[in-house]
Parts: sequence; C-alpha cells; structure tokens
Amino acid sequence: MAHSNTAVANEPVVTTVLSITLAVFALLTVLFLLQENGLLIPSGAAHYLHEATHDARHALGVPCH
Amino acid sequence: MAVMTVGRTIGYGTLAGAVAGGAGAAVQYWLVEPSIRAAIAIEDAKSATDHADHGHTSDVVVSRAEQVGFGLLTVLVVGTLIGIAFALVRRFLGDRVPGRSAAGSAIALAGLGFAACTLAPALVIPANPPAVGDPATVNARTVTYIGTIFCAIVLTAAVTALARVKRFEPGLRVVAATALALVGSIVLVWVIPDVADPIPSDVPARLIWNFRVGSLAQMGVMWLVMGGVFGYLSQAVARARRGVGALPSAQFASG
Repeated sequence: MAHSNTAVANEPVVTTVLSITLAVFALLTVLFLLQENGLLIPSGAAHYLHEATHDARHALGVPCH
Repeated sequence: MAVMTVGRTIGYGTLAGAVAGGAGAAVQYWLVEPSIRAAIAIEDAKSATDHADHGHTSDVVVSRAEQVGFGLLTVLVVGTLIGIAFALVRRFLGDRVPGRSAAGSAIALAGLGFAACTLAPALVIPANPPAVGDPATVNARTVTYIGTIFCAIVLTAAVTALARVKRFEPGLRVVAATALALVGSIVLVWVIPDVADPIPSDVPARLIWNFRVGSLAQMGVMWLVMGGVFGYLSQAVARARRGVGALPSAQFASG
C-alpha cells in the first residue's frame, strides 16, 4: 500500500478503523446534542433536549430556532 | 515524532477536551450568559405584548435556571467529545500536521480547527442570541452552517498540504499556500449564499456585538485550551520516549 510517512501507517487496520469510528461517533453525538430537533427522537423529547441545551446551542454559534 | 497508543490518545483527548469544556463553560457563564439573559428579556417582552390576553408561560419545559445549568453541562460534554475527535485526528494525521514538536503540532492543529470550524462559520453565518432567528429559515441556516465548516476544512487541508509539497522551493510553497488560502476564502465567501436572518429592530446592536464577541471568545478559549493541554500531555510522552534511548536526531528523520 502506498502509505506516506504517517505515524499510524504500520499499525493493524482494526485500530485505524476503530479510531475513525470513534471519532465519527463523537462528532455525530455533538451534532445530535446541538442540532437534534425531532429527526431521530420524538418531537416532545427533541423539544426538551432543545430547551435543555438551548444556551450552549446559541453560545457555540449553532443555528437555533 | 513519538506515536501514542490509541488508548492513551483517547485518554489524553478526553482530558484535554474536558478541561477545554470546563474553561468554555466558565467563559459562557461570565461573557455569554448576560447577553442571553438580556435577549430572553426582549423575547419575553415581545411575547407578552403578542399574547396579552392569555398567559403564555405554560409551554416552558425547562426553567431558566435549569437552562443555564444544562447549557454549561452541554459545553462540558461537547468539549470532551471534540477533544476525543481532535486527539484521534491529530494521531491519524501524524506528521502531516505542521509543527516541529508534539506540543507545537497540537497547538497548530487546534489553530487550524479554530479557523475552519469556528471562524469560517462565524464570518459566513454569525452566531445570534435568542430573540433573533426565524424558525422558517432554520433548515437553510443549518445546511449553510455545516456546509461552511465542511468547505473550510477542505480548504484548510488543501492549504496545509500545499505548504509542505517537497517538490517546491520553500519560498514558492509559502506564496502558493497563501494564494490558495486567499483565493479559496474569497471564492467560498462569494459562493456560499447569505442566509443570515435580519436582526429585529428591538434588539440593540450592542447586544448582538457583545454576544458574538463572547461566543467567539468562548470557542477560541476552548480550542486554545484543548490544543494546549493535549500538546502538553503529548510532549511529556515524546520527552519520556526520547529519554528511553531514541537518537536525538530521530525527530528530524521524518521531517
């Protein structure tokens, strides 16, 4: 494989896949906390989540209502 | 450059992110909450006149005090999660990140992260306090916000990659990378539609300014603290490895 001189080039593929999965999962959770408005969970719960995370959504600059 | 195990990377990323989240929550409490409070007062005054005939407080599902507390907690959780992702990205990119030391690279990546994920969307679609924002346009604004971050990350990666193309002279590399950054930024600002909502006339400009400066300061502190703590921890690992017997010249071998 044409790997560059990246530090992680020589380790098992499993570790790399695990790292990428975890990073993506962390970012999707952030997206869920800051953007969920009824797409994945019932609208009542989404409304509660929206109100609970409301100040952080505004302060972190995410578009909000 | 010393490579950390995945476990240690995640651990250090969690710690750096949690410290950054804590610092960000403190900045939010002192700098941003006063603006949010003032904006909610305007919102309440507006809805009181709109619904003068019937009390409109029954739809409150989270009290104001809870909102402040949960808001700070959210920043802590978001900071921690971003810290984990940051550490893994830092590890995955290895020596593609600019910087000669582990600490320098962590700070550099945090700086690039700030530019792409915070500054770019803040310029295209700036943060707004409550009392601003039309629910009808929230989808367009959200798509623009995420799209801006995505485009800015691609541009930042391209500029950083161009800055280290070995075939070019160092001087040419600097000029080429700067030109790409400049042209790329202009194109993005020009191409991305302006979907920001108008500021209602009853919201003072001073409130918007204070809120946006506070919000930027908060996120800037979070990136800086995250890069600094993670850099400090990874530098300690690099120093320990070198002490065990690596050649002093090893750090130049990969450069």
